[in-house]
Amino acid sequence: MIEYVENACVIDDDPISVFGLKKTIKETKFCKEIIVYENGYEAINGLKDLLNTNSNIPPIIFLDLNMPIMDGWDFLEDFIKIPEENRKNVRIYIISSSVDPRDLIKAKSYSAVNNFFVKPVTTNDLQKVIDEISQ
Amino acid sequence: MGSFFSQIKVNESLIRDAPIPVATLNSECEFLSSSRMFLKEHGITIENIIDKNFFDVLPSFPPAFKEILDRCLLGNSCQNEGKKYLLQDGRNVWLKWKINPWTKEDGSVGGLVIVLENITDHKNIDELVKEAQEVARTGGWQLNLLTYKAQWTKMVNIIHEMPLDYVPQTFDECFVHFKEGRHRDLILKATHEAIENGTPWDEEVIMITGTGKELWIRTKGRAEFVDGKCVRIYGICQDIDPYKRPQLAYREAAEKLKSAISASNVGTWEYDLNTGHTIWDDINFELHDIDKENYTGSLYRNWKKSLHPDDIKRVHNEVVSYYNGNGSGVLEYRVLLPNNSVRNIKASVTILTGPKNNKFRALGICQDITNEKNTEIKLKKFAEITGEQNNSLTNFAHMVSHDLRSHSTNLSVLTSLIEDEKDPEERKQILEMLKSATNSLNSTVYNLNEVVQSTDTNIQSKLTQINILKAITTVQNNIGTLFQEKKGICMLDVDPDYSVHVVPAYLDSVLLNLFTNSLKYCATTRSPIIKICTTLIDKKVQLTFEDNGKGIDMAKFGKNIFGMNKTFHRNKDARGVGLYITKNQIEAMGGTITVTSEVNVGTKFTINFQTI
Repeated sequence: MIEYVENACVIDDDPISVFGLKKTIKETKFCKEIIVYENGYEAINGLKDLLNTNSNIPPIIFLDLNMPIMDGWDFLEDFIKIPEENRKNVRIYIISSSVDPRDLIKAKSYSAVNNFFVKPVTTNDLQKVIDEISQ
Repeated sequence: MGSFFSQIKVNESLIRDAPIPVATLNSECEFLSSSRMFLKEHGITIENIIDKNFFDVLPSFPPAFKEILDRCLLGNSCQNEGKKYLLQDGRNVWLKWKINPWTKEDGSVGGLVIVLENITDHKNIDELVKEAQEVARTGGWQLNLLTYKAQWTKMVNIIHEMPLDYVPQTFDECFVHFKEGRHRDLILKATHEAIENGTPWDEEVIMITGTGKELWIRTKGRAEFVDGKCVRIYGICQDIDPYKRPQLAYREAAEKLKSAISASNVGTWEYDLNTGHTIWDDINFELHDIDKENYTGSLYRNWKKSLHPDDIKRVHNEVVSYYNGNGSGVLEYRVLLPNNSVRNIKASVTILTGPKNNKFRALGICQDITNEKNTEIKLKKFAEITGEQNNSLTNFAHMVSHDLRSHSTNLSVLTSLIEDEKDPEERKQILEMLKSATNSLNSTVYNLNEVVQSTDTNIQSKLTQINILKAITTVQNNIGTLFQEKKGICMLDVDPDYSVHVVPAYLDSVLLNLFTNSLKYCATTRSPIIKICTTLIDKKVQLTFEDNGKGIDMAKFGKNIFGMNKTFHRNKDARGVGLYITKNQIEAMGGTITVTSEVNVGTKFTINFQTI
């Protein structure tokens, strides 16, 4: 079994959504390992811990927008403060059930964000990610 | 001869005292005698003029006068009522004379008797009067009531634009020149009054000139009575057209301005910066609610006293600043009326500067802009309401687009997964999730409904008086199991007499939300203690709801605390709609809610309720 990436990170507070995404990822054999954070606060601290133990940040991050404590936007604000060389290979994909066009426009304003997927994330969506990273 | 001279001698004293300027000359034009008046009349200062030649005594007399004397010496009498001579020194002189030759016994001319008057001053005055008449365009007229013969001076004809020799032939003809209608009737009546009762008149009327032009004239008239019967009426006629028309136009304009000012309710005032003299019009008194007839002290002080106390300092500063050349000279202030209501005034000031750049007078107008102000306030309020509603709509749209969608997405994902899943353990897990997803959907729909309800604009009719203590204890009892479970304690310091003006269901919902929040987010290391107190502030009930729970980091989340979908704790069921609904419900009932909090110490909500 060949996975495309070593590990991926999911930041989402909704367990059902995470459950669904995990199933889809397994189906496409996208990666070996999935790290889940329940909100932006847990995520940013978790990623910083990884850096402090000289580990790499997962190259793919699926980021939900609406979360308690620190939402997706708050996470992005803190994430772009991480030194460039520690996050240059990281691709962030927004996953949201929001169909509000303002969220889409706002997401595009972050250069760290690669794409925006409306939930549920499908195998097609993941195929797009795979195509992008294989280039 | 001898007898004549002796006669002359006798007559000399007679002549000397004669009350007219008279002198006698011999045939050589030498003075034989003269009256004192003669000397005085011609300013002769030579002591004795007897035997002196006429022109030696009066050297400045025109030589032309000599011809007249010479002609008379030939035996002719001569008389002139007034002749103008240019004297050698350039002066004009008017002479009036009567000269008779006197004859000797032999019948030859012995000399002249001269009555000679210098009427220059007289004539000058006459000329001035004539000139004045022309300048003043004033003429005289009279009507003899015995003969009905009228007489006009030339100026009357000129004013009437009639031939100079025109004179009205009948009594009635005197009146045809006045404009028919009001003007002619006025003069007819005035004339009648004068003839009957001797009342003089002085009127300004329009007449029609010979060329058909309308002309404003002033006519004055009075009557002369003989034996109780009016024999003559006479008076003057003055062309006042050049002044009357601008005057009328001005009066009309002033009248218009006045009505415009009174209609617009604009007050005007003037202030002399040197003397402090102040003029206010009636409207200004009215606007500032100062009794025009009954105030003491300067108007400036009264004006200051009429201001709203909160405005005095600001207005004073603005006035001083404008005086020093800054600002626009437009200021707004409030006047406090006796019934404690407020009138908004907009005042514009101009300071007049003299030629030496000295400020000498301030002028201004004041306008009542209370209506505009109130409308502005109303508009702002509307804008606020619209803004709030727009905000609610956005939040609502967000709830619909996000919350509802996330549940429906989850449901569809789970249902498709359950179809494909063969493993019974997995299926069971998915079914559990399905159950939780439907519950979440249910609670979201319930919350959405609450939000819609709390933004109901027709809330006023649903407000009733509710005893606050009863409401609190009822809610407390309803969640008794939750209290027991969390080992919570509730301390009440609520006045049992306090009532609040609320929608009962909203109050229950607010209290329930606060209670469940406090119990849910209690500190893990201590039992929850909730303190509820009421106080009366400005006749309104204030309720404080304090817990010793986890607290919220205000610096980080303070601004979002009442927003939608903001939860601040790592609790699974924190969906972040509760406080949003609470705030909406309280504000819908006309109240306010604020929060203070400290992490690991507790949270305190302060609610101000509306009372009747």
